[in-house]
Amino acid sequence: MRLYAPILINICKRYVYDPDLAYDAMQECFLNTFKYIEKYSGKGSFDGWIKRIAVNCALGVRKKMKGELYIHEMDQVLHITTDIPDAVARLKEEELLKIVDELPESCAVIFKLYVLEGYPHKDIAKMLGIKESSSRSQLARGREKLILRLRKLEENEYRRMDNLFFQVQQG
Amino acid sequence: MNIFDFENRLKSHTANAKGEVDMDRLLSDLNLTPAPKRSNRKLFLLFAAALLVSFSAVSYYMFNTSSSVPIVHTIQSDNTDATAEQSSNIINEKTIQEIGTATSKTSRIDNKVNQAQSTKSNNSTSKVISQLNPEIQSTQIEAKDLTPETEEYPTYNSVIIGEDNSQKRAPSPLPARDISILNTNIISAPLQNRESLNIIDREAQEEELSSLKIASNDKRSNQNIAFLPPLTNQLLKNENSKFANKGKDCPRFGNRAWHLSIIPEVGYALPMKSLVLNDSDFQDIYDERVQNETSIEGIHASLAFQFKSHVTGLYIKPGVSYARFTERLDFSRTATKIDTTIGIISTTISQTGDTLTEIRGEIYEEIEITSKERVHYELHHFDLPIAIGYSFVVDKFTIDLEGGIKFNFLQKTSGNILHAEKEYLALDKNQQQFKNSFGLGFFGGLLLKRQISSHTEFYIAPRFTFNTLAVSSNKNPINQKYNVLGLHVGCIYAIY
Repeated sequence: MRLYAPILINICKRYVYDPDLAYDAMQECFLNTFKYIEKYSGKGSFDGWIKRIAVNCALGVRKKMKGELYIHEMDQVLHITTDIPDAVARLKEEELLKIVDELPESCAVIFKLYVLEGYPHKDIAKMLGIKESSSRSQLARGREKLILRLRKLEENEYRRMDNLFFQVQQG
Repeated sequence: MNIFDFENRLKSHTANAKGEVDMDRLLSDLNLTPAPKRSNRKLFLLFAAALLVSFSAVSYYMFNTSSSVPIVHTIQSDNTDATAEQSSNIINEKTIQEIGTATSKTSRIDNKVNQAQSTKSNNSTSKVISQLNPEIQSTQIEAKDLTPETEEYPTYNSVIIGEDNSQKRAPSPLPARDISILNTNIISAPLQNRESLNIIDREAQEEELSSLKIASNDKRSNQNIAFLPPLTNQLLKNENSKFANKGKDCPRFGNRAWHLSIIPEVGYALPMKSLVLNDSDFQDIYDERVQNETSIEGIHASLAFQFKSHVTGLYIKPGVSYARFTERLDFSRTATKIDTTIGIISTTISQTGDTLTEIRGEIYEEIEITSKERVHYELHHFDLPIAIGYSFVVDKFTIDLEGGIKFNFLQKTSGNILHAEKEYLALDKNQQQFKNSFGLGFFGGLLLKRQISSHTEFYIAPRFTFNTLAVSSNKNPINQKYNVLGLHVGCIYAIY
């Protein structure tokens, strides 16, 4: 428990923003782990198994508190360039995760499940009770929005720098 | 930079990221007393009911067969009845009055409590609404910093955040988990309005973009409290009751090494009987019984308590058991009946051929009659078994290897047994042919178990029982002994 608790609380906090709810999700994860420990076949890694339980518990707590995650099917996904601004390199990971959190809820959840946890779309669809195509489209939409936000961030950065430069020039 | 590089960077960062956890709190929360799971209670009750019925039947049988105590009817006089009735009425009236008084007192107390609660909740709710509604108090919010001090909201401070703004909790009669649920309900409400929060947050960020500081989780929680929408107490109550009613099936993680389980069991027994002749005078009876007496089904029921060490897998299992064995004697007897009739036994013709002489006499006729008889007798064994076993896990099953001794403390008989040629002895009235108890026996077997819930295991168990002593008494010329092969099913219900 001492080994996994810090990792699991971090996972739960990704999906349940409130610390106490995340703690509840982690606690439920441990209870389920002890309860179903005999069902662990030993084929996969134990880390992956317990992390999957944590993700499921966190999503379950989130569902209880906020209701069903509404994910709608997208007809068309805009294809924009995958390049992102260089300003991102100067940001810390926590700041980047904060930007991911600001994405629409459905996009943020699927982005985290796919990118951070590494689950395939098939598993994500099963976890959230949605179609696999919905998971794909939401991920694409999330990526688009993320790139747009990062670009906007860069523009604001340049504007702020210009203002500072102008203020310095003015004296 | 590419979006995929960006994602890989995030992934590698979060893969090993660790958060802070109060381990003492976590461990203490996990030690909550579990709400026992009742989903598989039906199965357990079914077994218990079957066991109860079987024991009731046995005890009824014993009572009826062994006791010859006459039933005594006590006739009471009318005066006594009337007095008893009056006294009972008095008691009932008194009881009803007491209950009524208590109920009225209770209802009065409840009313007071409700009034107090409603007054308190109305005050707190109105306070929260007046302080927290962003529409009404927009100017107030603008005037204040976006992260207001938590001291402004004493109603929540007492529950949500401790005096020192840490995760400490105010003392409460509720368990720690319930308090956390209360907290999380209150805090999580603003998350539903995240979009609106984000807009305000973004404006603030644009103004303070130079610093680009991201609020920590605790700080964000404080911000969220500032924009807390008005929640009615009813809503909070509903949310809490939703969680409170959800019985978590919490296993206990104490340091206790031993666990107690109750094990009802039923089974089918195949008795293997051996007969040995003690007295040669009864050779015919012996032959008859060896040839014609068959052991048919036996039934078995037991109730045991298991003390098991989950550390070593060893357990000890004392209990009480009942077994019934039935013997069937099939006779196929043949008899010859001699019948005589008057008929022509000889016919003579004279030499001339004109005279026919018939001699009539008794004609003997043998008729073979076959008769079948079927007689039963039963042996009822009441034992005290005690087993020691070792448990180990094989794939999805658990296998227990166990062995032990059992002491027969009571044997009862019923039915009729062949005693002499064509003569039966009723065992219901006379049990001299069999012992009242035959003592020690040994048994061994294995249990194939499968867990069906957190508290219950179902198992099927073949078992062999070897009895050292004969069940027949010294007065019985034929020594009768049993070894039993049984197949048992049962469930292990963890009660402690």
